[in-house]
Amino acid sequence: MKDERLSNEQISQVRKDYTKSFYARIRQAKKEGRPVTYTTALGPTELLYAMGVEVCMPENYVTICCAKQMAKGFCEEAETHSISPDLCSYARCGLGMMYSMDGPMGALPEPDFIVGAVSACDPHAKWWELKARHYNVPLFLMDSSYNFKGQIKPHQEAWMISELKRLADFVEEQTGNPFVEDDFRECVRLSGEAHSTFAEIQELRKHIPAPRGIREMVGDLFYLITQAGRRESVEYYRMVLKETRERVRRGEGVLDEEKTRLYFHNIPLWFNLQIFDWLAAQGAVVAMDFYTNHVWHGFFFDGGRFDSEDPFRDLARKWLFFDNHVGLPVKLSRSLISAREWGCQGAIFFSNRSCKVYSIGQPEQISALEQELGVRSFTFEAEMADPRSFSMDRWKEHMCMFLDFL
Amino acid sequence: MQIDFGDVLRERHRWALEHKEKGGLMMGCYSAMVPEELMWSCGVLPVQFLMSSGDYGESQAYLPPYVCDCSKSIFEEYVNGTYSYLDGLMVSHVCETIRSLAGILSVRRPDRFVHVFTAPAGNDAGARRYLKSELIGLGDKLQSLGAVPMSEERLEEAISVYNENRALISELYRVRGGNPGSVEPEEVLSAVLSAGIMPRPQHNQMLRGFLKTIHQGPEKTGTRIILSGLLFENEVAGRGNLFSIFRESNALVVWDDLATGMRYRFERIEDLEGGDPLDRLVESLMGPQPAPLRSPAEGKAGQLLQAARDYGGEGVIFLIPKYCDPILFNIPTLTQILKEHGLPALCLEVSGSLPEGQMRTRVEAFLEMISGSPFNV
Ligand code: SF4
Ligand code: SF4
Repeated sequence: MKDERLSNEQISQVRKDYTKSFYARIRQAKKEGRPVTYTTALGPTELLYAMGVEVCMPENYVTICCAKQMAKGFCEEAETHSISPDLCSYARCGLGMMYSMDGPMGALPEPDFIVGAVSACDPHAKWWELKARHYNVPLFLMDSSYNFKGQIKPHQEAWMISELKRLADFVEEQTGNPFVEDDFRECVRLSGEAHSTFAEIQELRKHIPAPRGIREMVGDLFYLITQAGRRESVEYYRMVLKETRERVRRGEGVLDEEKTRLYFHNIPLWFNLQIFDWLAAQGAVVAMDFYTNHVWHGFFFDGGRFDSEDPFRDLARKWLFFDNHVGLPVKLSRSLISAREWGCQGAIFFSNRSCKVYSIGQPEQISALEQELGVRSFTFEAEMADPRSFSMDRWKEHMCMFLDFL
Repeated sequence: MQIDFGDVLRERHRWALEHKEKGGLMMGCYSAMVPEELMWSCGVLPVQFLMSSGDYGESQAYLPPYVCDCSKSIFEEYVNGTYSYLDGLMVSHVCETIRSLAGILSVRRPDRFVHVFTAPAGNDAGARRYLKSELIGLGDKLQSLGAVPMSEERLEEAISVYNENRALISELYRVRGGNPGSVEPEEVLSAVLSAGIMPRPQHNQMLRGFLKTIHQGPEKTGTRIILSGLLFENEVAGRGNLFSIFRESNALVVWDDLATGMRYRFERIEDLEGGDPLDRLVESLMGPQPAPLRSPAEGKAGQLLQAARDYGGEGVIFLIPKYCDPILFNIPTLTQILKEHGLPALCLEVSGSLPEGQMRTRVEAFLEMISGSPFNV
């Protein structure tokens, strides 16, 4: 890697170029008859990459759709196919793309099989069932127990490991590609390294001024979600870490002068990431957020590392600490840690009609932040992938009052 | 003596309080996919939550507006003391809402036992091993709450009580399916829902008596319909307007899965010669399951088609609670498969109480459309 510095724009260009090449790679695989799977954004990419499968994540494609302001049309399309407007907008938009055979870079190539997750949330099981039926391909559903209070018992871990092994058998059956333990070990090692590096970047966000903003961080997450287990993710995070360290050393931040540091809870509004720019213009920086730190990264956020010498065990633990698999006691303590350690003076809780798993239980977190840290919160309701749910003008009006209050 | 399961639902806490007086423990449950037999064998009465008929104003500050009335009702009655006699709470992972609700209740009352039970969606050796350890651990937890220790003998006994209950309910469905005029749909549903709140030995006794009172008079004629989805109890016990509409429109309910999806398991636990009762309980809790989250919609469609074949159903009415994601996700597949087989379907959204005018128009139009065209594939 070259020694010269990279601006945020340059880093973001690296990511955009790579995203394009990632989707091109999937298309190419399809053309060449190599196996392509659809999996949920929590899918065990480490195992799938180790077994030579190209991984396509419709949820990620939805976020691109949102950025290009195409989500509304696809949500509406799904609704004409009896998909209720009350269901998760990722699912609606994703199904709309499937029904209309279209998308922000054209239709996704058809999958050879699908890997969903019944343990993660209702859409992670049922949305994938609809897809499997539509494409008439085999469906594998991962299951696991609930990590209610953050303490995993041996039988819970053992079941998770057995689910991963069952998936390896399924992939072998579908593709004819044998499971090679060394390849899997290497992919898990790379994933562990990517997560550890990502954790260091998150740690640097504690500095004042915060060197890396939420807009960049949610973009960075692309590698943790879709590329975990690949060398490219480690390289990307090393590059970002190096640059972020440099910014800290020079005292460069998202804002030169931070009036307010905020904690943001829930998925970003993918069709309107500009809310973060607007906040910055008011002197407010999102110093820490739930989405990049707790959801995929929960195991590492809680201090775990891939150090068990058993790749299945490492991956099982990562899975059991996803925010989707932990109970409110764990979610609550994570929010408290994030707000406290990253020095947040206020919090924004996005009550997301699309996502019950992240939204139910927010009031308990809000009152814990207030009672234990004196951190006051602002709540608004919308959906992360359906622009019909959100009015920027109204949001700004309420947000101004909240910032004034802070 | 007239046996009315509606009375059981109206006096819903009586049985639990009686059990408590005798020194038993009570576990508030949501969904039948919890190990009820195990609890009963340890002297714990599983009490399935029933809906209150409130406006759930209390829940507004704690639950977002986009969750089902059912979860609001449980929240409200759990925190306002209606269920203060419970020794704990056990919900099965049948949807995200209920799992998250368990989290809220546990944070609000950390002193109380709260357990999220996962009945595996698949059935393989790893899942079986997990579930067996989970059940053993659960037995220990119940014991620490003051329950009787687990024993093979007591579990065997509990399984046979629950099996008899399943057989009696299946018989009730068979009798009703054969002659739907012989028993009102509310009576059938009340009978099934009562099973969730009273000790099964007493429920068995009542059911036996109830079955004897059903008179097989001449067969009634009418449009034969099947109900699917989930119907909240206040529509059943309160003699809600849905069933009046059916009666006035001369519709006969021949089969339903309204209380079975979430609240009741029909399949008996197999008597394997010499098999460990715990292994058999494990087997019965594994997938595919009645809960829509944990089994593909195709299975449910097959069940509906079979019921239509068995009992001459002419159409299916889906009753869908607002914001119930697993049921909502099943609808496109179910309606498509039924359509492919020529079985008409109507989808009705239901909440705590059904808005009558609009529902009447839709039900009447549907019945008119399907009447006289029995399903025959
Ligand atoms: S947004 Fe929430 S409900 Fe939708 S797929 Fe993701 S975790 Fe599930
Ligand atoms: S009605 Fe549906 S969403 Fe509500 S608790 Fe029951 S299963 Fe869950």
